[in-house]
Amino acid sequence: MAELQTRRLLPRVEGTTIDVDAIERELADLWRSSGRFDARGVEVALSRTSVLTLFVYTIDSARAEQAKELIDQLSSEHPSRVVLLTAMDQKASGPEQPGAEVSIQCKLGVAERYAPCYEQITIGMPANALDLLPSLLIPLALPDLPSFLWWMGPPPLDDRRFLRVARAVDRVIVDSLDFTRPVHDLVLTRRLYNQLRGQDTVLSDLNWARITPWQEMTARIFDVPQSRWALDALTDVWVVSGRFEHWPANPSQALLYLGWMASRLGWEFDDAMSRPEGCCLCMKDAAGQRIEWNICFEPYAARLHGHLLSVRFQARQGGEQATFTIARGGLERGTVKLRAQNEQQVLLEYAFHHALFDLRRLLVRELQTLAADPLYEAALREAEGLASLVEQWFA
Amino acid sequence: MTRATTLLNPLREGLRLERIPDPCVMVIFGASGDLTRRKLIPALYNLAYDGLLPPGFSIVGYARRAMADDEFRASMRKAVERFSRRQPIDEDVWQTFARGLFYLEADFSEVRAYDRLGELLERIDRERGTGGNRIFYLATPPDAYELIVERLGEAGLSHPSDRNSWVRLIVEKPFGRDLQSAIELNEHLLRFFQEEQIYRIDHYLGKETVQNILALRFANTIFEPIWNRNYIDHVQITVAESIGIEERGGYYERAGALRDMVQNHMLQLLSVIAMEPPIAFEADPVRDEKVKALRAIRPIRPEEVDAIAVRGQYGPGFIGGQPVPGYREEPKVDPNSQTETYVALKLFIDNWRWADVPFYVRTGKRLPRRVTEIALQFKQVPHRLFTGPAAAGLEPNTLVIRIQPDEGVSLNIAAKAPGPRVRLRTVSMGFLYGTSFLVQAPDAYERLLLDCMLGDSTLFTRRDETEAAWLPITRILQGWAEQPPPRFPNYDAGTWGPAEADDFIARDGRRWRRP
Ligand SMILES: NC(=O)c1ccc[n+]([C@@H]2O[C@H](COP(=O)([O-])OP(=O)(O)OC[C@H]3O[C@@H](n4cnc5c(N)ncnc54)[C@H](OP(=O)(O)O)[C@@H]3O)[C@@H](O)[C@H]2O)c1
Repeated sequence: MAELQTRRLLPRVEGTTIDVDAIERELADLWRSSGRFDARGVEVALSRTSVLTLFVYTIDSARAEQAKELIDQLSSEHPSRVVLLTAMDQKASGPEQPGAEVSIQCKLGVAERYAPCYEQITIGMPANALDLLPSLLIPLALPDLPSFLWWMGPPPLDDRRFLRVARAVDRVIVDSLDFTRPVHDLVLTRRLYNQLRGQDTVLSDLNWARITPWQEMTARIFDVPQSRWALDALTDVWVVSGRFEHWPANPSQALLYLGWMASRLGWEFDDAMSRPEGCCLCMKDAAGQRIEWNICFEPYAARLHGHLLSVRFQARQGGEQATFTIARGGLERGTVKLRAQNEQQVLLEYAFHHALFDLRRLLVRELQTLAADPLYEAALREAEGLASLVEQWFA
Repeated sequence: MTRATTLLNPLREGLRLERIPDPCVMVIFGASGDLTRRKLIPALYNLAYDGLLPPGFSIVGYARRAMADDEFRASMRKAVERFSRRQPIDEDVWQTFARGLFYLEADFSEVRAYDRLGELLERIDRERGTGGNRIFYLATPPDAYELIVERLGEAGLSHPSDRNSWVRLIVEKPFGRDLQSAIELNEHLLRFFQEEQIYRIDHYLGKETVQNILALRFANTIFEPIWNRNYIDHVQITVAESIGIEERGGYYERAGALRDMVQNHMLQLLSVIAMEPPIAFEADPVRDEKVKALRAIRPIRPEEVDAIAVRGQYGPGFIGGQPVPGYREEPKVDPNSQTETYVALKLFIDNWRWADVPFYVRTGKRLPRRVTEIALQFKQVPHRLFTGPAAAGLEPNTLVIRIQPDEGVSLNIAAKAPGPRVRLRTVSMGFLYGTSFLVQAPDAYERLLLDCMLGDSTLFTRRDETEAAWLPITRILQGWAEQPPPRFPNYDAGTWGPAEADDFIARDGRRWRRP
């Protein structure tokens, strides 16, 4: 796809702060001066529809590269303002430290006569910049439109200044897959969530959105009238997540998934025990029946570290027994598969592709939602309670 | 799987994905045909791929030629590989989808075949948990509709077997050839099915478009107050195609542009633009208002047809620099054919809102570009402050709702060009749905099939709607039939239609847009 691109660098004047007015001025000037013709010389109308402002804060330049790539992929569908804030490595201080760069990027060939454009502002930030962030987020957000802050990298959840940063936007997106101490940080996430309650900011976790396909498939098992009984007769559950070599295990997805089921079904915690590869949480359902919820890990490529790989439910009631297995498969592992069976036969097989296994689609979905998700709130509450119980085994 | 309970599923609540239909079986009559291969199966596979079909979803293909289930599966796989927008095929999804594909070889007239169909459906219910829910899809030549429906009725398949299950019927276009045949077809269908069970498809109007227009009109306060005769000078609805009739000469010879495009698609567009606000965003309230708008179309007397309609047929010409044959040289077309490939109409909607506002409607094949749009042209300002060179080239305000390509909305307004002198220019403010909202609109067939499974008939035409749309069309057809044959061809392929059409609108002091 061809692209029209104009960019301009705003060098940082030594000793001055980031000049928001200068950024806006340069952008306005770019719009005035940018070309209106594509490579064939055909006139195109540059179309600047704005639906939101996306701030991306990256804690290092490697993540900044990843963010850039993703934003570029989004751009043909994404005619908004993107502000990329990158914490500069300490050692890169001095003359090499970049200031801000503004650009307008337009995709040609997406639509016949229009070229959707988006503005990108890139700002290099001093390493410890939590204090000054709100003063950039507020003026750079497009008026009257929702603003999102995607925090790429472990968020400083225990830093009180992070709350002020969060309050400067409408939605903060963190990723519990990135947490340094996943179990402990889940507890801090709940605290932040509560602090933001009643404010205009909503907190969301990309990792929660990642379990949507699993939730959807789980719900679908019990939508089938013939298997609905099993939901009240679960005895054992095995939730397997990927773990890359020596990285510390990340059970956030598994805990949020359990938190969701427990909150929906009114399960209560009974006791917990450590297992060689993970742990087991024993829950009691509304009728007092015990369910053993096993959190396990399997060696896997870094790409799926901390991601759910499979979930198996076992149910027994009277003489009836059934096993339901949900697993990822297919190309790029983008498919969720379900297999239901009893002792004699396979009862049901079912599969679909899930767009949310793709980070880009995941992000798009986050950008489409503004309201708080009550399911997340309930699941996080449960997950936090469980996290504090198992924290010792994941330290 | 034996035990069935109807307990609620607490896990379902609040999930962010869309609603999933009940497990069901779709029986496709005409399963070896073109529509099944090109549209239906790829759309169903895409729905399966996206997880929008229920577990156990099954398809029974019904057609004449001999095929075993496995051959049917193999040929449907080829269709998906060729026509699905999801490539490459996902093996896991395909395998589970294909397991639900069955084939029944029979002639539509064969009475016993419907007993076999009933047995097969019961077996699928037992083995795949489809619970007696069925959709019968008539993807057949239109002359088979009545026979199939009758056979289904006689075999006891047209009604649900119990209170918890449902049976629906999808009827493809064309729905009748004129008012009389549409009424007869409706009466025939209604002998065996209830109106609520019948889904008359109009694939042109995908849900997105209708919803976009309704949202634009009724979710904004600024448009509705001016959406009437006080501010709108006239409306132009254009459906221009650059393609010819492709391989469908046989069909087109019997249809013509008026039946093929205007009766269904264009009157649908007109009714969504002209309708009053519905009391709810639901199937019946929306359709009630659409029907009211169609019923308000000013009656056409056959003898005045010349004053409100122009027809045309393309001769040879050029499209995109390539020479193309005229209509009469196309395969399966009569060399003296009188079939129209272009129509322009002037319609009025006689109600409080639209009295005396002309709706110019035009469609044609082999026009210079493919475009579908609705343009509402507003009146001139009551007193012109800016005249002479300052206002040269200034166009009246126009709100354009573009449907394809690049679905979007644009508004033309006058603005002063920067500089010491007052010079006004028309500027276009626009936005595109696709590039503003981060998502691809689903294919029209996918949406329609899913809606039918979910029991949402908003986008399907109700009995009274089809008949209300046939009435003006039938009058025009009658008027044409009474006239001497037109002098065809009267426009070159690659032009914007016959000169008569330009004169026709020029008589009203207006001109066609060049979209
Ligand atoms: N094709 C499109 O893109 C399209 C678009 C919009 C609407 N439609 C409408 O959709 C309908 C189907 O169109 P199509 O193009 O798919 O038609 P088609 O290719 O001619 O297919 C007709 C189908 O009906 C079967 N059939 C015909 N007579 C039969 C009989 N007596 N007993 C059993 N099977 C019989 C044929 O089976 P055998 O071949 O095995 O005999 C074939 O499967 C038409 O109403 C058309 O107007 C089509």
